[in-house]
Amino acid sequence: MQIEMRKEGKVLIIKLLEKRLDANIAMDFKREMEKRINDGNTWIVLDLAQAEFMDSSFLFIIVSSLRLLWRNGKIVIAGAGESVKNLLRLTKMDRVFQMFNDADGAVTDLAN
Amino acid sequence: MSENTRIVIIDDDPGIRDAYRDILAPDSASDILAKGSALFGDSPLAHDSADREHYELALIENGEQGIRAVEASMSTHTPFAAAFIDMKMPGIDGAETAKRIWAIDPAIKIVIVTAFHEYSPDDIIRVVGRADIFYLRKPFNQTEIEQFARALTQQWNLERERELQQKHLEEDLKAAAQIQQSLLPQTRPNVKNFHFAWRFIPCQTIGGDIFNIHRLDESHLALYMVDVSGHGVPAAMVTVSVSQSLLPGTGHILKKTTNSPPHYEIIPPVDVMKRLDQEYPLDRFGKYFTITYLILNIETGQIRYSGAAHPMPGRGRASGDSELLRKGGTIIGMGKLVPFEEGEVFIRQGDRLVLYTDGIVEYMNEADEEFGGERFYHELQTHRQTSLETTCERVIEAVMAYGSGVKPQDDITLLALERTGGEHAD
Repeated sequence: MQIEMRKEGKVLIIKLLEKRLDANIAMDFKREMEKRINDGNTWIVLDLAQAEFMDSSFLFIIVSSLRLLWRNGKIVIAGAGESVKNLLRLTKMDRVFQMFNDADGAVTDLAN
Repeated sequence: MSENTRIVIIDDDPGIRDAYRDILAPDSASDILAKGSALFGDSPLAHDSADREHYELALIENGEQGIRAVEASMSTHTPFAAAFIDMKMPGIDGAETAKRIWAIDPAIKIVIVTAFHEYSPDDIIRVVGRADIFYLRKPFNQTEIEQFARALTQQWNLERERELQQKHLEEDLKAAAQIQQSLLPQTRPNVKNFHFAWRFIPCQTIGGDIFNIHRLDESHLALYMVDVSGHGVPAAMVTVSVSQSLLPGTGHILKKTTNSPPHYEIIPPVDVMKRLDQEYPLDRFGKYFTITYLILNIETGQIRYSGAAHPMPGRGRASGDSELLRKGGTIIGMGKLVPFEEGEVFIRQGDRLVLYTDGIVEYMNEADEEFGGERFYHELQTHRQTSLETTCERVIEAVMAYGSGVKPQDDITLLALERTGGEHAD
């Protein structure tokens, strides 16, 4: 799984460089998220600008990560394309995850 | 199963055959040595012999007889694990013998033994037609023969064991598939004015989709369609659990008993979602599922429904209009992350309603392009004038044709209903 990470203040930005976010990489992503959250990262921006497709197993990992944080932090989504947005709408997850057009906007919001 | 240690030796030289026997079946070979060790105690040689592997040997002097021995071993179900075949023999040579033996028994391990430099391993592979043949140069030493015999019989036995395990697994899966099939509707519900049809294509022997139609009382039917995350055995086992919970008689999700007549209450769809969400938290099986659940009033055509992130059911009106039933909530198991909603629609005479899983719309062709919702609804519309059964059939055909037969990556399920009559004058 191709991934890029950087930290701005308290905010961790995880940029997924894969076009397809699906079951093939879901487990790798799960381990990565668990590790980062266990390391104390609770303000997370998922930059999905590169993703053309997300399936429900991948979404499931994002949601379980959110449950790991519970009320101690936040995961927001940046740069989601139409296909990813559709899945979030279908699963009503658009009500759970705040969405931003790009990572910078998300970081600014979380930093405040 | 006991280990197969049968080895066939095919060599025209009696001295070589004796050498094989001394190495691989030392007890039968060395009567004198054995007696010696009894007389003179634990000689190093006798000790060596006791430690060595013992094989059941068939010592054969030419290719034709070797082939017959293999034939006989197959017919008595006592196959050889391995064969050592001399390359140069009167009659057919070693390579030809190996080729014919493999035609009879493809599982036997074969070593071609040759003193002649004119036969390279490549030459032999060319004649035999298989690359998994072993090659040993004469004069051989004891260790080489022992190592070959041990490795090849072990390999043969492991392969056989794996084969048996595989067979058991496949039989188990087939049995599980039958059990899963029994959880799907067995007969079309006999309901006046309503007609039902469905198609179910699991992408593996067993899968994570499940649906059914149950009668809740004289005037209400329950319909559900569930898609458990993942495939295969774990997903299928969750479908069994969910389908049991969704039985109106013995389950406790769809109906509850009350003290006053009629002594039951039908649980509204939105509360069915809440109960499932409570009953199946993510952590329980490490799985989540999506569902569409609806209650059909067969007298009025009223449908109350809710869903959990399942592809939204579509209603096709007799007039040709169509719409999606959008109310619902998120995936089951999230624990009240998003509140569930309930919707209501009426099915009038000539209206149809379809439930399906994302296996249809996410079916991908070779170019990784999805079949998609638009194509799906277009197909439903195109075949609107045919019977409900035919429409389902045509839609599935269209999906398969789109992928030009690419095996579905996910279970494909389609359930449709139509109101065929009984409309009250409004």
